[in-house]
Amino acid sequence: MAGNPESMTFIPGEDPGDFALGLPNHPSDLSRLAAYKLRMAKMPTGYNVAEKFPWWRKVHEVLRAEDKIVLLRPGWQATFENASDHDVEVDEIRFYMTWSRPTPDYRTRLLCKIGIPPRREIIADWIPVHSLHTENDRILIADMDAFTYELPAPYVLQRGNQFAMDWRFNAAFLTNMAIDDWVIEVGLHGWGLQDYEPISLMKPVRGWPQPTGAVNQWQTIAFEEEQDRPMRDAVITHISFGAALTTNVNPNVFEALEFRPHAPEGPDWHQGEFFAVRDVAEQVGRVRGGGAGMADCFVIHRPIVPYVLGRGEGMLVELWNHDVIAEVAADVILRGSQTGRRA
Amino acid sequence: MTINYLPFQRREVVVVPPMKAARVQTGGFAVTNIARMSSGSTKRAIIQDVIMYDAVNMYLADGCGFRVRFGVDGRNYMTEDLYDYRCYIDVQHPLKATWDWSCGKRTPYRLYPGQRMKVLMQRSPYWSDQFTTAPSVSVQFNCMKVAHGSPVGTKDGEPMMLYSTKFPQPAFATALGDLIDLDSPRLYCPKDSPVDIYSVTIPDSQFTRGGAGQIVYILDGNERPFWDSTTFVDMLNIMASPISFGYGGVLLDPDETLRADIENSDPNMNVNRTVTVTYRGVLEVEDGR
Repeated sequence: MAGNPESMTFIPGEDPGDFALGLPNHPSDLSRLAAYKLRMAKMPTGYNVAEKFPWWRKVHEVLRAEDKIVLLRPGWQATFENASDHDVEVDEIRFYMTWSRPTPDYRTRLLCKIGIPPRREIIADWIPVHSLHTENDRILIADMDAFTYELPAPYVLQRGNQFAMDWRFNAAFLTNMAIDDWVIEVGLHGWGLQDYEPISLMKPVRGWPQPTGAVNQWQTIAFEEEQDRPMRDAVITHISFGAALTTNVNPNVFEALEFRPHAPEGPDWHQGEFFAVRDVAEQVGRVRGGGAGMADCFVIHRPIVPYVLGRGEGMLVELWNHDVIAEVAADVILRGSQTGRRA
Repeated sequence: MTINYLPFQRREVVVVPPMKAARVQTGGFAVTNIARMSSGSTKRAIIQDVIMYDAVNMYLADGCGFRVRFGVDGRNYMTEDLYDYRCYIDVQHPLKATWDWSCGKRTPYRLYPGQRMKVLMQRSPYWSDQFTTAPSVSVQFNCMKVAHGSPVGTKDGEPMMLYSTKFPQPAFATALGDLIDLDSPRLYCPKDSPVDIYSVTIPDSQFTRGGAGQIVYILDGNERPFWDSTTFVDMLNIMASPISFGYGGVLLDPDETLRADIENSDPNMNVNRTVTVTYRGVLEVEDGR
């Protein structure tokens, strides 16, 4: 995995281009799918990917008008605390506000402060969460009906091993789920550890007609059949969720789909929590036909380099719903990776 | 003097006649109009991306009506043939008011101790006064401290933000033409280290979407304007999907010109298309300390 340290990514088959030569090779020369897969196959260089594991935390909070809350209270609510015995690198902080339209526009009404107490402050003054955007080009070329989730750190899935995930729908979508029998296509994507060739493992999952009220029922998608297991050691970089039926190209089927991955080994990514696909998906942008899609609900902050949480350290997030009238439901999600070795 | 990278944009509006009326055959290609971009600088420019939309359908990814090819005069075309604009798109914008101009983290703007960013905002005539709660006015630069003696892009730096908020801002009480200065100690470079600035974000509310609401002036540490333009929000919060020029962008020498050949490709259309072409990137400048 030796590589130019200047080069943050290695994209098989794609020359990153050179200043002196001017025009770079462009992925549009390839098919869209090929370009997409090449993008997914990018790998960080300079460290052993097997030593890194994804790490997620999230909190769902409902803030009434003029509410202020603190999402880290040591000893009481340690959701954003690094309770492991490894260092954690937080490379992304997300805010998701339940459908921020119509008025008021929660992105500008919800304020926050961020820090890693007592060591350092990051945002010490109240600032609208919407100001924390640092990314707006996270959307890769893919089928518009598919949501792709980029793992915060590549995950090594060894040959023949099983990868599984539980999935369920939350209450908000149950009514429609009972009517429509959805087929969800779940995929693992990445590249071979030895040959860098793209790997995709796809698993169609039939959405069962959910009896009303069975909110917490979940199913397990196991990549367990022979064809579902990687035939060679694979580095999984993306999980995709596709729906054959999304009426009016409406992404809301993913509004309610929640999943919980089971890696066969390695540190616990998620403390057994379910994560909404909407919270982790990259492809949350425009709804076809113009207008704004779920992207309007998102604020994604990615620092240039990750914030590092030592053992026992936590990320402080304070929220203030400045609106005098409306209630805001907000998810705050930390994404990052932890080292496999002891810190 | 060392090199610094000042973000910039150029915009050109091209009227493309309908194919039926004005199709011109040139070596087998139908080229009706050409958009050109030169930096106008004495130093080099790096073009990061280009965004094109027409007045009829701003969401070009959904219903593009023209074909295009790009190249540099005196050099090569990226593709010989003209393709539908959508074929080139490799980045889709979820309508966020953020611009990362750093071309794969290669070209940040470096701010030195003692310097500060200066941000002025102005209410545009289109800023709605429908607010029940006054919106905040804020700005945020995504930065990294530059560890002394270390190359940019390593993890030796510390992530940080320069930011400022005027909150709540009595927006609709602000007269047209009044400049809101977002001056704040938080916009100063820290004393212990230079910082590299990779991107900037300003909040857009649904009423200020698409550049209708705010006019923003950003001055760098030497009081030079970022973006000699009053369409700032529009440039960040661009309504159409951009074409990225890849990891390193396209490097233009001062005397070189980036060229886009545009063809009105709708055979059933008998009217002109007014295409707005926006090139974004960075100019190489002396850091001016």
